[in-house]
Amino acid sequence: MLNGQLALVTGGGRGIGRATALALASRGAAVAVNYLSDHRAALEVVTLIESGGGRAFAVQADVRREADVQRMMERLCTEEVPLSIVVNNANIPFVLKPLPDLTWSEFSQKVTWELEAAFLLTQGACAIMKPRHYGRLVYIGAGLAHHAAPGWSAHGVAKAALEQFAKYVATEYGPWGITANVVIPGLVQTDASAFQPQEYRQRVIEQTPLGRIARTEDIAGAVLMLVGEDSAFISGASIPVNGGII
Amino acid sequence: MRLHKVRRTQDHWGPGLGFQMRKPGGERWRWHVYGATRFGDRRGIGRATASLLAKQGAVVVINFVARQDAAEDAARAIRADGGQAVVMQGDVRSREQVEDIIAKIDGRWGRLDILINNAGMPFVRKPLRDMAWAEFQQKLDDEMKAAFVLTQAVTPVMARHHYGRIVYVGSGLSKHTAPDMAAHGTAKAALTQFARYVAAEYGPVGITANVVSPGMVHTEATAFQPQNFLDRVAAMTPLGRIAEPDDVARAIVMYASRDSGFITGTYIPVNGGSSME
Repeated sequence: MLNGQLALVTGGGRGIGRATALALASRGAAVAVNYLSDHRAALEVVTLIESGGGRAFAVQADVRREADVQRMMERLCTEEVPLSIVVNNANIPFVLKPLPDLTWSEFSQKVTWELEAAFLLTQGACAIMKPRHYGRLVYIGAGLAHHAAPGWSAHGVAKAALEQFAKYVATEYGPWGITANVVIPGLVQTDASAFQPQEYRQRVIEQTPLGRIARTEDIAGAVLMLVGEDSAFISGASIPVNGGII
Repeated sequence: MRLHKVRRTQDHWGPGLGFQMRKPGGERWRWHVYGATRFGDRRGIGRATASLLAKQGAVVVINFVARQDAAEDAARAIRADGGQAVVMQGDVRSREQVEDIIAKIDGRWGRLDILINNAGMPFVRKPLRDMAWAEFQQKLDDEMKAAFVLTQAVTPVMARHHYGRIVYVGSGLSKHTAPDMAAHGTAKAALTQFARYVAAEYGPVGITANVVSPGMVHTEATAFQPQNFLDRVAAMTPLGRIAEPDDVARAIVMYASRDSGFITGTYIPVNGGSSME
């Protein structure tokens, strides 16, 4: 049902991005798997999609750099099918530290990079989507934008800003038939969360009505919902995907 | 924004809810929709939802209170399209009638996977200063009684298979206000919080509960609005139009699908961005 559409997944080589790329391909979309440095992981996703009969390719770009994003957009425009879907997923690194120990540069780096990536990607992609009067943007947010956990301020604040940015995108690009929504994962089983102690996981599981931690496929499922035809009139919305944990 | 005409008698509305059946291990989904024919509306949200679920392979059960003709008409349309549908009469505010319906469905199909709580309860449109407590209370009672009774009735059946999807239809007026809509908005806010408790308490048995919340929708219930008001709402909406029942129905179907497996206790506005709740 996503046949004839090109989807870009930033940070598509691993974790949520990987699951999302595979899910989009399974619904018929051609997928551009963006990566920063892990060429092998991105190629693996491409190979998996191709072996399933889908269309995919890897595209390197640092989404925080305007020239890189520009180059990536030019590459996407050489595809037969038009860019219709963008999943702003690339994980922007951040420092996990209590506020008293956090320096301004550590904090501002995360906030700036998070927004810079979203900003550049949005402007670049929407310029391509506008003439066709169709586009689906999904930003990956974080539950920590809504509640706080010690040490996570840079991440939480950056994601809160990202979420509000998405609402402005929805407002300003809506007249061109472009929707923008946010998927908000809680704790997800990925490489990025592997450092969490087992004890902490267990506590989250106990507090989660659905009794488990999210798998990357769960997040991908929510992204699929927001890029399909069924979500045509949903824009500026934020959907938590956390199994009901408060 | 979602504005309703006051519904004068029970004859003017038909609550709706949906059930889905899935063949264990089967590839094709079989759904049971206990769908709405609100206000005898040929274009209502419930009817659109029933029709969409049927298109996805659903067996649709259409509920009505008084408007049998509208329910039969909706079922006929589904069957004419190659789908499966039956109708069942019952007032969803009555525990006995709801339990009777659920027992019939359970007896016939042996499982129940989706409930779409779409019941459009009548309410009085008035400023608070002119509202009698009885008027206000009636909407709250009807709205919550239906949700409460339905939820308690369907969950044991869902829990047997450790699978359930409940979608409650809310309203943007639970998050912001409009003149004369206090009873409706307050009742929908209560319904939204109720859905979170359902999510919290029934999650362990594999049941998800979410709220799909429309803004202004083109239905017979909003047809009384002057055209210039509808135009103004459309102009303030990023996607430049008012929702059709189909827009809301498609969102409901998404939350009833497998893709929403880890989404529970959430609230999703379907309003074209007019209010980012």
